[in-house]
Amino acid sequence: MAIATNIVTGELQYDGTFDGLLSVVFECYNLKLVPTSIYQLDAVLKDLFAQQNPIPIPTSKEQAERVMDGIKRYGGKEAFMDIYKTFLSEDPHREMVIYEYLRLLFSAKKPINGHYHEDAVMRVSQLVRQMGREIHRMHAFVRFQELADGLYFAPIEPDFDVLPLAYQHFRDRYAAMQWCIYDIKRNYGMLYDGEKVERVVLDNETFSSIQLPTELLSEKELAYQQLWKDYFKSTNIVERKNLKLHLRHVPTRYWKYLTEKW
Amino acid sequence: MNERVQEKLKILADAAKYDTSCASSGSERGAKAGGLGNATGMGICHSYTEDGRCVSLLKILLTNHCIFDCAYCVSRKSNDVKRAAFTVEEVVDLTMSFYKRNYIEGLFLSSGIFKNADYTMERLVRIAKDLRTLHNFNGYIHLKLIPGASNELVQQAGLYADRLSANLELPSETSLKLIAPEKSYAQVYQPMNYLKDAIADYKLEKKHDKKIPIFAPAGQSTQMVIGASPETDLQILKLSSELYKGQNLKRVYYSGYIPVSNDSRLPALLTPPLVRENRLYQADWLMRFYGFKYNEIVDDRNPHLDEQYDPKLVYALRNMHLFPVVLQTAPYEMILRVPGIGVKSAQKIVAARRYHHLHIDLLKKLKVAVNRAKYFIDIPGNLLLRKQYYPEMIRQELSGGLTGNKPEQLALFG
Ligand code: SF4
Repeated sequence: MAIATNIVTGELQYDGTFDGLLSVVFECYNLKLVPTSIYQLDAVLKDLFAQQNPIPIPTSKEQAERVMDGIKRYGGKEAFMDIYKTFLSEDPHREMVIYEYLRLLFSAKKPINGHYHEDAVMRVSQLVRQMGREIHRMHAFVRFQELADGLYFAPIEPDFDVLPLAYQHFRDRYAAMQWCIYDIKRNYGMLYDGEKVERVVLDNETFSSIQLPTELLSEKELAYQQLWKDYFKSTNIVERKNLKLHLRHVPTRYWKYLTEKW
Repeated sequence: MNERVQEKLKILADAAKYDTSCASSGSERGAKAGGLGNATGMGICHSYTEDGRCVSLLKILLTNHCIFDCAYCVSRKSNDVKRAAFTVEEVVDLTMSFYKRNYIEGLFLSSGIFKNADYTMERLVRIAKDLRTLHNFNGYIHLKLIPGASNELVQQAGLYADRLSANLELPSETSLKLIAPEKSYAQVYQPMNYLKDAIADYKLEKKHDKKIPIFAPAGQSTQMVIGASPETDLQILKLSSELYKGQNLKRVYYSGYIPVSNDSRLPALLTPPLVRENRLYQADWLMRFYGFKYNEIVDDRNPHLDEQYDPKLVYALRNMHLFPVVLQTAPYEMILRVPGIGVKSAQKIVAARRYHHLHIDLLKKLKVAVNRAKYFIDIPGNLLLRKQYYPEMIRQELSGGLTGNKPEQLALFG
């Protein structure tokens, strides 16, 4: 731990939640800490260069909210969303990028989104764009399957943790249905019961792949899936075949979602 | 639901697929309490065909029975194909079931002309009406206007559909008469004009009365077949420009003619003119989003779009006196004209230069296609900018010179 005047530099640690990271930012200002790295609890061990004892910063809802207010005051709602998206990107360096971005924002005291010459601003804009693309792909490629009890169920496994940002679209669109979108990679989902959306964790092994077992499905589900597949086939124009373009729009890793490719 | 529906779907989706317009964007139908669906802002492509076209709507014909005999059309009377017709309920059920599964944004319904124009149009309207009123469906609906349909039905269609389209089919009336003898521009312009006025009225009234029912919120579009008749790109783009300005159309679609018949009224093409179609879309895009006029893209001396290079590059090469553009100070409109710089990048450049001196490295990070733009921009770090470029030099370098690279991909510029 290097001590120069009253500024302390060192490695910090938090619990891996968004509130936790904002608490870290709060304490950096409060205690005049300058982090060299910010680790998630279990990530320290994986980093060969990490010192073995980073300072653990406890998560405080209240501190997190004060930082949030600050972000919104200076950067507006847009800056806040950008930071939240950066966090959900699961990028290995997201913590330091966010810290750096907020340092710039709090010293500028006004939006900094045009300052692309700053690495943190550029990186945030890239991650936001990357998240935007993945959210958009979820809006497009999520496929609901009707279960026997009438619930519309869609398992997903997105590249980044986009469900908290992606579900609102489905809430708006499918307000008259009951549905659940489940992230099988991160093992949690959003369940809509016709009134409100709730975060749920299912420990059911049957929901562990994108194609659901037939016995769970409603009577007509497979027939509609078949109709959709037929439709997809008929709509193709052989004379225009252009697989390269096709793959650019739908990279193979997304095919698993698409009923028409099953 | 049964095998009969399956069989019909195959026939009637197959017959509808040549209609390339698939956009589901530009509407403003918000979700309603207790309702299903919405259609706001950008439409979503839920899948892509193997030829790379967006699948966003369930695009089908109500029937492929037709009393007309348009030479370019698979459903023409004289063609020996299997015929089928959906019932109103079948179309409604397919739309709802696909929509609930997040396969589609909505329905694009067209039809062959069964008995007569109004008889057909009435059924199309009924499907839209049932979806909206019986099933509370708020997704996207695009209805085709049958040429010659009555104003009353067109008015009703506007109440239930987001977008309507009357197809010009061919880029000149002379060609239309030759290839689709039962049709005329008058029959197409009649519903188009009616709608144009009705939409204008609606917008005016809405200013005073926020609660009036929405009317064709995504406006109207049209389509023409390219390459089945002798018009030049100049004629085509001039017509499009008039349709955007004079008829307030939202979109004009170009459909490269696919030889579906060996009718003697049509040219014997071996492959559809896909490159030309793509160039027309690019030119159209330049008119709608980049502030180009049609006669800046094509003119009497160059009545056809270049096959090898996109129209924006060709414009720059023909107007070298306007370049290089000094990015640090040039107006936004001029930055937009630089090949390799898209709308988003141009906006970011304008944002970034307020705070900082631009450098070529920044452009790379902003996803500008620098290898294209470099000939046309003046910016620190651009070592490639020579005192003078001859257009031919750029053409050669971009075509890959000796390395023999393939000409660029078919796509819109970023
Ligand atoms: S009227 Fe329409 S469906 Fe009938 S032949 Fe002409 S283009 Fe085809």
